[in-house]
Amino acid sequence: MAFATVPVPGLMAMPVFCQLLVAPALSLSFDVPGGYQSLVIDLQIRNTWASNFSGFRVAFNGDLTAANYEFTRDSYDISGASISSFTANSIPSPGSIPGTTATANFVSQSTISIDRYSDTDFHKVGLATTGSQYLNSGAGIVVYNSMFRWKSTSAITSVTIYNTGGSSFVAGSYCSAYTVREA
Amino acid sequence: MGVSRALGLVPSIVQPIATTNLAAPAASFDFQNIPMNSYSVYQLELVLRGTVAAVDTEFYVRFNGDSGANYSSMLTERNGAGGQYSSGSFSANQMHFGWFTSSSGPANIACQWSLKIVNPSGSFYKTVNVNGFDVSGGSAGDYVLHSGFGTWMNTSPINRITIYPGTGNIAAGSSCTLYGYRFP
Repeated sequence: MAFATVPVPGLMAMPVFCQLLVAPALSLSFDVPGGYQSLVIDLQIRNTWASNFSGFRVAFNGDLTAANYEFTRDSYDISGASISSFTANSIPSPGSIPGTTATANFVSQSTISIDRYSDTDFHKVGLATTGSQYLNSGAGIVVYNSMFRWKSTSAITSVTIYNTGGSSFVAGSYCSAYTVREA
Repeated sequence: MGVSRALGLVPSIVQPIATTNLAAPAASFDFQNIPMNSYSVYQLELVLRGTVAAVDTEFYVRFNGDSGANYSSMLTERNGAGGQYSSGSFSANQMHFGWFTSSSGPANIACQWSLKIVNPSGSFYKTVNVNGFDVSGGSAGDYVLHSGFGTWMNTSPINRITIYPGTGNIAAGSSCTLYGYRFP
């Protein structure tokens, strides 16, 4: 089968950031240009936290004040257990991430989207979908769906993704982001 | 290549790689020889209906033609009657993310599914996030939202993606488009 890879007028997804870590890093951070409708972030990550899994967080414009955020998250594991939770005054945690005691090469994958990220009328809200596997047995796979709010009307000009325990993303972790232009 | 925003010709990082629209039933959507190392993310958008004489059939995925016990996956369900459920499997022969309507299900319904594969040429095991739905009848509980996640326990770059039903074929009229994200 032959493949055509020509650019398509009208699909205005513009690159913002793309990084494949060649060495561990405490965070994945990038600036975001204004003037577009939506921001979409894709992650495939693993960290150096000494456990099967821990959390990761997403902050905007360098604002690390927990009281400026809130999020709601559903999580399901493979055993059928589910948890729905609302967390006030906390920097969004869209899911979990395998650590050093997880089975080798297992990772989490997440997509985070924020519509109207550069507008200045409403607080910024977004959606995230994350899947994570850390063991090949038991409750070792989890799916998360979440929404979050940053209680600021400022345009998002930068994004910082980091681990809850202060650990690093391992080499091989991936992050990319793009903006979508409005019609 | 020249670039002109005024003419709406800004190259997009999201590029269509291949599309299949079924004129006749087929056993699978099978994208082969995908250019490896060219794309940072794959995204598939599907509209699916099955041919088997059942209300619905399983939604299965494999990579690189691997039929070995090298997949782990889980699916979640939330239906219109308020029910929710999740399940999955380890070391299976394929990834299972839910079901889609088949020939004994409601007429004229095909189910929409979306898959995203991030870092398909990376050094870790390969992963996929999935969202879709199934309609198996006319009552509230028959309308089901699915989300899921899967791991192919292999570090090879993905060069083939196969989507197929548990039983029977994929019906004529079904479609699948594969997109790639190419960052400069």
